[in-house]
Amino acid sequence: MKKFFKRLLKHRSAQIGGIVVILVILMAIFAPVLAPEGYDRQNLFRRFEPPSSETWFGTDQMGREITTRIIWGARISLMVGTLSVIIGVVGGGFLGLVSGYYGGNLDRFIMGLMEVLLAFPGILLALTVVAILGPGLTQVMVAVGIARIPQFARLIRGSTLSVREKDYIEAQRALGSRDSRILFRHILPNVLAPVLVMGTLSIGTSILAAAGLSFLGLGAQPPIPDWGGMLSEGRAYLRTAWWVGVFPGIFIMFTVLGFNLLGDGLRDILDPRLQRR
Amino acid sequence: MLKILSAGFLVLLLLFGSGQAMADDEFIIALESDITRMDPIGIQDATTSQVAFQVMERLLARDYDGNLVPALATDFEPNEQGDEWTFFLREGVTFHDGSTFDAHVAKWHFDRARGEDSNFRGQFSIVEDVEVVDDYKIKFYLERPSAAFIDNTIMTNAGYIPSMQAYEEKGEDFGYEPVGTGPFMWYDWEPGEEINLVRNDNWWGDGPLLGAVTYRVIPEASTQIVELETGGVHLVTRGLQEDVQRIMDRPEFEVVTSPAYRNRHFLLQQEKEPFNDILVRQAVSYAIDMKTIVEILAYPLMEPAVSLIPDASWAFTDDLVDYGYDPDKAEELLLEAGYTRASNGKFEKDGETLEIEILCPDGRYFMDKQISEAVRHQLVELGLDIRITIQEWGAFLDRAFAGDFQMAYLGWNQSSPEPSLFTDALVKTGGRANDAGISHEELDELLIEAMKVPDIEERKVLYAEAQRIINENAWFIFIGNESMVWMFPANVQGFNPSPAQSEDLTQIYFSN
Amino acid sequence: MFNYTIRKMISAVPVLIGVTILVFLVLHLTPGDPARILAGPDAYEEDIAAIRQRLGLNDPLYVQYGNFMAGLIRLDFGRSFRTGRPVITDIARRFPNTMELALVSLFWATIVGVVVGVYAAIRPGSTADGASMTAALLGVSIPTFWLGLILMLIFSYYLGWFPASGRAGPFWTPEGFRSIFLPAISLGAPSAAILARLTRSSLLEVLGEDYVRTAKAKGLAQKVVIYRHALRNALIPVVTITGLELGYLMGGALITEQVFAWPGLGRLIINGIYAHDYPTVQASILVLAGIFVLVNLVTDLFYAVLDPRIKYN
Repeated sequence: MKKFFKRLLKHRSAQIGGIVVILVILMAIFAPVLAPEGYDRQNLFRRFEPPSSETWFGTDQMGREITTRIIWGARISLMVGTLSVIIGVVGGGFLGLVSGYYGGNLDRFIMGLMEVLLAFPGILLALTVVAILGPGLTQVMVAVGIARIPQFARLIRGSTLSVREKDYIEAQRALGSRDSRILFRHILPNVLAPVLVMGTLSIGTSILAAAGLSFLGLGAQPPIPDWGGMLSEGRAYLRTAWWVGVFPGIFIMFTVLGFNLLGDGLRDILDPRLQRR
Repeated sequence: MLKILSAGFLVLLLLFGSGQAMADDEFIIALESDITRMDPIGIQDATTSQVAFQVMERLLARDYDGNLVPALATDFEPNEQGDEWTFFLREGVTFHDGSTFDAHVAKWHFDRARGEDSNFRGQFSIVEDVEVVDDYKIKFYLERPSAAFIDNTIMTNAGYIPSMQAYEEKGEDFGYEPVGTGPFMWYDWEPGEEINLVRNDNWWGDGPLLGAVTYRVIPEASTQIVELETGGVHLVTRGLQEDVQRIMDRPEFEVVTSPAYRNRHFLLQQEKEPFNDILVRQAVSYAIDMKTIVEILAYPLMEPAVSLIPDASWAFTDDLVDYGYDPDKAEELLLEAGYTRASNGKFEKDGETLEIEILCPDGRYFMDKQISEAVRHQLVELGLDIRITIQEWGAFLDRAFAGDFQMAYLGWNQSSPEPSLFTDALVKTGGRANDAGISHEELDELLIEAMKVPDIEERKVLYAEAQRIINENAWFIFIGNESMVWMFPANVQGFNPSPAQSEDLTQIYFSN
Repeated sequence: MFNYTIRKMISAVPVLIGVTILVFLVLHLTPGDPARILAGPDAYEEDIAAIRQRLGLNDPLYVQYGNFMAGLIRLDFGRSFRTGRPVITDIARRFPNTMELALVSLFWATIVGVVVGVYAAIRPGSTADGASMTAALLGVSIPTFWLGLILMLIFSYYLGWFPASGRAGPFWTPEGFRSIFLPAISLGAPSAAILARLTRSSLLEVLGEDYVRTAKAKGLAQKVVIYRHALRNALIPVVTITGLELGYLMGGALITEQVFAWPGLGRLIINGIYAHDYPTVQASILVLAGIFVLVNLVTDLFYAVLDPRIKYN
């Protein structure tokens, strides 16, 4: 474990990614300090003020400071990114473990189901989930999370399959251990590394997917400062007040970049196949 | 800067060959969405209706002020009770396919509008029978007298009369290649992209001067404006406030705005907590500075309103309770209603904070979301807990019709000053859009009475009283009346658009 | 080989049936009554009821699904609720536009991706490598719709080089090319980035393998080694991913089409979802899923041909 962290700290892209991610996390944690007035202080007489030394990123269509909304929005993006990945990991993890461990018809059924989900364009899947559940942050997380399930299920099934036949698992089985015990005690820890890599990379893509949903008008409810939603609203003012849409996009990009860099680093360190280099 | 840019754009256009060659007498109109189907008894949306207006005609039309003028009928007369209406039809009118328009075609059409396949049976349910008196005279027998028969029935989309011959010949394709008597003839349709109409040289009226009319489907309002500025279209009928104001400042464009018969309001669910208490309804009305909100966020595309009946209607009165912005009064009323201010500044009753959900559609009405946000902000400042729920149109309609809301952003569009189109649908007991279950005996009596008297001055008095009752009860928080806007290049002449009906294009020509 | 193909194709059938069930359920569970949306807010209840009846929405769900499937078998996708036109005519009109956008995007993405990937791989650790990989990382981190908006802002609003929206013709005509340019750039950017990263890592891996070292030791010129031997093997995974990317691009086009008002299947689907136009959405999604499955199948086969290590049984 210690070795792992040492390696991580030395890895260049992990360093940069880690710093970006930590900055975003700090911004989220200290939002009440950085922007004590909250994210919904409107002033209809100060709409569309361009960026200046006074208001860094300008004001939006409701006369709100875009800077403060971006700061508070970090909370939303991080939450959406991580929680939807957790939904994907837990759902996909369960299905993948069961599928890989038991095999047979159950495996075929579950993997068939995953293929159906995969054949369904991801954004459409999320779109329809949101359409059913109604718009809102929770719904977006569930939608993006469900769309992630097949990937994780496949990944974990693959790892489970490779671990299943190992001697020590055979030995456990011979000793009469319960399936659930074998699954969670012995197999699960062995598949964690690839999940950690893919999970980190997925946080980035989940933030992007959630932003896409917001862009289609299916995101958080106002006045929640969701970066994707801010960007989507800014679209109408692109020519008259470009700053409304441009800055939230930049923050989405850097946050996603941070997670991708970190994920790359983790992969280099954890994936033994690539470790040679 | 802009000049250099547009010059650069022109050079590029020349380099790559100009996009669309425009004929001199082709008029191009931007549409927000594609049309659906041009069978009059199935036309439900404003866009399709707008195009249908050029191709087909009704028995009557409207002039600039909304007064009825002859179209396919030269005159009409109700009997004394108002339950038999005779129309004298124009002679010598032919459809675009050469067939003749007469009373038989008219009867065929109106029977279809009342029949199985129609989506307008509700509007036509008042008609008991349609009779051909002679070749150019047709008579409607009504179930009961109605002063609004013309507005409610003849002037609907199902009032457009198509060719019977075309229906018999084309069968299924009838709705996709409409044949009418209008000033422009159907030419073709590239679904999702454009609709092309050409001049009807045999039109009975004066004109049209244009050779062709093209509708281009351009969903985004901001893109429509770009197209207008770069010459891709000649007429844009919507836009964001910022864009409209910019176009207004440019001398090469003309912008016409006109208050329309389009009311926007928050409907308060008076059957449920907390709005079952009139004091709370009044308090919330006082707590919102709607005039400022609308003027900042939506003017000139929407103007503040004080009544359910649009300002543009003859029945409008402003001699009403004024719920101007008065937060102190709002607080007073809330205290009177039994609420107290908790230590966190929020109003509460029996230990429960006053919570209100605002139900709002997603961009269906002009600036609906932003106006809701501004309203929320003001109510939060007063000390209420407000949550906005934006719902997609389908789900929104479901909830609105089920009365499943506390406070809903709703709108009501008509193209006529007739007040009953607003009152009878929205506040009369059992009205078809009376989503908050409003039922007020005195009001109902007034509204029924107002439909029986034909005299407009008498009706005015009755509707003024009705508006007073509506406002006293504070069932609505009026937001505004949406205006209609037309933006076109200054060299477009002879265009005099009115909120009373779709665009009359017959007198348009280009000056150079 | 032949048996393998057939087996793969048969296994696609249950997947597609699953898709039909999923689409059908999802649409019917979505709140919102198609008849009410169709009739508009000022309709009378009796007219709404009549429309519902006419559209068959009063039938039990399994009957509606049965009708849908029975239609599918006869290749009848039903008629749009909104326009009454056969859905297949709308799809036939829109689908080629989406395909065009996806293929043009994939085309430039593949070329740029592979070239940049190779370029970076033969100079590992150089500034050029670092710069191109940073660019590639940005490419996968950028929201495509935001990229689209920025491109639109710069190249059509300020510079006026390309139209802001719409499709002006096929991409080989000058107007068509100008209209597809921005959408294709923004849609293809992530794919280009993914392919560049993949090509680089795959080529690096191959270059480290024994036979390449042998070839090098035998004194073959570096160029010959890279292009004759290494690249061929390195591109196997690239081909797979390129195939998969096509599937993703078809789905991802949905948002890009919305940004640039591209008249493709994605906009048909989104408008269909908003209007609760079940037949249109069902059929369009089925077509997209079908393409996705087909692309996977072809990729599998391609892979099998390229890599003789794969066994067909």
